[in-house]
Amino acid sequence: MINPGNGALCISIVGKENARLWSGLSDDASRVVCEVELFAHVSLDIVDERATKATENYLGQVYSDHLYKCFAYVSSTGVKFVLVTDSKSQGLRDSEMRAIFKKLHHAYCNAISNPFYVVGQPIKSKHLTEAAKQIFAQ
Amino acid sequence: MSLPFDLLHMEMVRYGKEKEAVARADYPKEVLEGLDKATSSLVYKALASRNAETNLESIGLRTGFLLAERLCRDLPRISTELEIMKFICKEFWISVFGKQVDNLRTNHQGVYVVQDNRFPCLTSFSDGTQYVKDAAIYLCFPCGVVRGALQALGIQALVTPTTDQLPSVKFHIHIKTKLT
Repeated sequence: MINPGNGALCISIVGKENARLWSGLSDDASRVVCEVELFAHVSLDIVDERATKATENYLGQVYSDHLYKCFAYVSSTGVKFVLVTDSKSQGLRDSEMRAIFKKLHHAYCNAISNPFYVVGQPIKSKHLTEAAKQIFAQ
Repeated sequence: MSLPFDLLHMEMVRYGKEKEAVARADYPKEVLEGLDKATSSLVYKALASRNAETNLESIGLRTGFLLAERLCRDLPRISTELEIMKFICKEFWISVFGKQVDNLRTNHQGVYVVQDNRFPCLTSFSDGTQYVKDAAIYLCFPCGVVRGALQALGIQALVTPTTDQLPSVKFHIHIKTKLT
């Protein structure tokens, strides 16, 4: 399963109390949805551990196995952004990842600014879906 | 001089008061009738979730929560309690109230006092002690904003405003628990 892009498969946004707020999957991941989501979920423990010691929001690669790699970003408010990529993809530098997470954080801020959104509930948002689509297409 | 926000805030307060008046009409009269003053004030306190102050505070809470998320997005990571308080007093205060706070004091045991000598929500009142009581409700929304921002950054706190002389306000922030 080698795809030409950056290999991003899944993006998930998890709240401070580990409530799943939003997740998006690329088309490539449609056959392995459970596997990828499980991987993202499993890496949350490591994200928590790293976040306590972190000096910046971007945590870098937090976890990997023979199929997937996982990158994470934690906002100062404790919201976790997790990006799962194919382990074979090479084309992701830290600066690119920072830009991607910044974009996601931006979209997340816009999404929760919706006055009809109840804080802590799963998010439905056009902003986030669009942002994710762009990231997957890169 | 009034900022657009001040005008909106005045209307919010007015709306809050109107809403409270409507809610009061719904209060169970059979319960309130024939009670002496002390007991009925207690009953009113029990029904406080519908009063104007609580309402404005909860609007502020949501606003502060979102603003904190939005503002700390472009800043380096904020983690310790002191860093959070500095963020509130500098970046947050500037973008919400248009100026830095004038004084921040702490007893290092979870109590912070933030002093603002010219608080923008109160500039439409004439200075002095005459309208201190009337001004109280104009501080509910700002209190909620501060509490919401602290909550977003992981601190549960109790925020109470005190004012002796307009337009200067002291916000007492009692930190209850730090969520980690």
